[in-house]
Amino acid sequence: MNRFLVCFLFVISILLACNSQADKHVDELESTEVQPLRIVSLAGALTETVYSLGKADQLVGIDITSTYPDSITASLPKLGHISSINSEGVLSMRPDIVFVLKKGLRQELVQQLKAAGVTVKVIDQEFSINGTKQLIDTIAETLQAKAAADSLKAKIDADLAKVEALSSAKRALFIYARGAGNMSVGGKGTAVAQLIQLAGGVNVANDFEAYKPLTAEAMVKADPEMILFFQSALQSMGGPKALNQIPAIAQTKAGANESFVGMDGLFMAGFGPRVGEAALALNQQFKTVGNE
Amino acid sequence: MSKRNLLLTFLFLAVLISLPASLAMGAFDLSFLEAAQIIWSKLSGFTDFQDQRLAAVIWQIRLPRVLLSLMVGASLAISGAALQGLFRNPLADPSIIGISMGAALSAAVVIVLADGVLAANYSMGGISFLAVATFFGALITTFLIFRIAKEGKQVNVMNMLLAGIAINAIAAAGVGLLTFLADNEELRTLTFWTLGSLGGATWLSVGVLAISTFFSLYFLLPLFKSFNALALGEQEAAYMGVNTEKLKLKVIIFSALAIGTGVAFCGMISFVGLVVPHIIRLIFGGDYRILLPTSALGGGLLLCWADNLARTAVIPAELPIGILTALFGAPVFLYLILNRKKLQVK
Repeated sequence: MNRFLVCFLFVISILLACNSQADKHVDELESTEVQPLRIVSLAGALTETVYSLGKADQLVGIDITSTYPDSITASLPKLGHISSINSEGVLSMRPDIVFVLKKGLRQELVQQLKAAGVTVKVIDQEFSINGTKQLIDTIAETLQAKAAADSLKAKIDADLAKVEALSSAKRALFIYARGAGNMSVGGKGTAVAQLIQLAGGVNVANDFEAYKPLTAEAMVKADPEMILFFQSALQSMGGPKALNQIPAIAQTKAGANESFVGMDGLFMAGFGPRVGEAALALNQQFKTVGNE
Repeated sequence: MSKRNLLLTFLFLAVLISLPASLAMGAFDLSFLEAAQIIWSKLSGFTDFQDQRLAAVIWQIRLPRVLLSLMVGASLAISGAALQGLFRNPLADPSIIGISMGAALSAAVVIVLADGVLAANYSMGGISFLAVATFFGALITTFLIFRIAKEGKQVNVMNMLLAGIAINAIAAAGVGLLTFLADNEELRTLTFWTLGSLGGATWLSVGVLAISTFFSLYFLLPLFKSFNALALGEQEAAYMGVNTEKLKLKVIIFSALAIGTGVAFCGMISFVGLVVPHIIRLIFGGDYRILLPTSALGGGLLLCWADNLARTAVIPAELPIGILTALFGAPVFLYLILNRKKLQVK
């Protein structure tokens, strides 16, 4: 029985120690002096937004999905991917504010950053024009850049207004490829599916959500007129000639016309400030397909 | 001083040196003196340290993390040693009683399915839903295997091994299905989870781990006599007065508890439980009186230094720790196997 008494006392003391820890909250840093905020941005679309709002000089750290623009991604330290980010690495950049997307975020990371007095802005991104505008507004509000945000949003609307109506909705498909043997297709609700819609097309992979590997037969049945890829993937697969070696692709309309389009990943699927441009670019690609 | 005490003293000193050394390492530049100052001011409570950010890095991030690495390493290694003793099988590790796969399956369910429905960020008093689910996933799988292996009042160890294989296969299929359903981000989170990370260390997780590590040490360490007897065979051990059924129950409960808690907070960290007891066994022989305590200390040391490397190798990013424990442990293990004749003390 003695043994259990020892255990019991030990557990109680640990619980008490934890409790006294939890009560101590570190106050947020007081920013009485007006200094430009030091920003860490942990998603491509967020980094791009900070840059487009004219605050790129305040960025002190980014993640590996921040690939645009080259001028800032080349020089800034990369902190890894959100699923494996090290809170101490973030803090070593001495940020005042950290922008991060809700998707894939670990709660402990937020706790640790807040404990160090850093403001953490968690943004729940929605893949739509409204979602992008909200994202811009949230960041602009924090960085006090309302004027720049308004002109960014106006630019998106202007680009979308230039999207031309097509004689028919073009049947498109997005393949997320990591080599010929490993191809997943973007279904309902994915960023690229939304962009296809904005550009006047229709996503043919419509009966499932997120990304799924597609069988050869399902690909032939879906019969897209155009197949989209990330630029890097298109290159790694060896270009249009090599793509038509893949039996399923060769049987589709897109395969017959070699209508394969590669676009930068962040540009096409990021839903950042360039979403209007991306929709317009895809719309122009659609116009080359079929009898426009 | 006996060989055992000498070895224990040496390892204990190594742990004592590793603790401050680890505190002075990391992405955030600061000297050892500053680290010591911060810890002193926190412990004594009177001098409030000026730079809050510096204090937070040491007190909220680095210290919990180093403590967590020592405790998780210790509980993984001692549970590994105990399971190897119980199964009298050198390849026994946490996966054999279904902990790893059970935890992986519940982690996959939370990451892939509950992300939207239950909100994976939902927290229970500061502990994430993922951690709670993983812990129970691990324990339930272990319990299931234990039940299947039970014949009347006895637990058949062979049945347990076989049931473990079957249950593991089912859980692996479940993980495979969820991998298929996962989107890009979820897949990435899941992959990193299976490689383990100590990055989520908070004082709360340190507290929980302290309890489970204490329990496993407190109940497993005194079992050395039974394990030594068991090495002769289950019946022989029974003749020598070992209550083998009680032993099985104890080992399963406390190793599942220790490993389950570790996996819940840190994801899967492979190899520590398998390789540390083996290294010690190859050098110092199979006496569990030496093996159990040295495995605990050695496991703590291995994980602590593997984690130091994980967080400093690619500053400011971080390497998954599972890669490093395998990279550290496996070559040493291989070396020992190749030279076992020369090294064997006995």
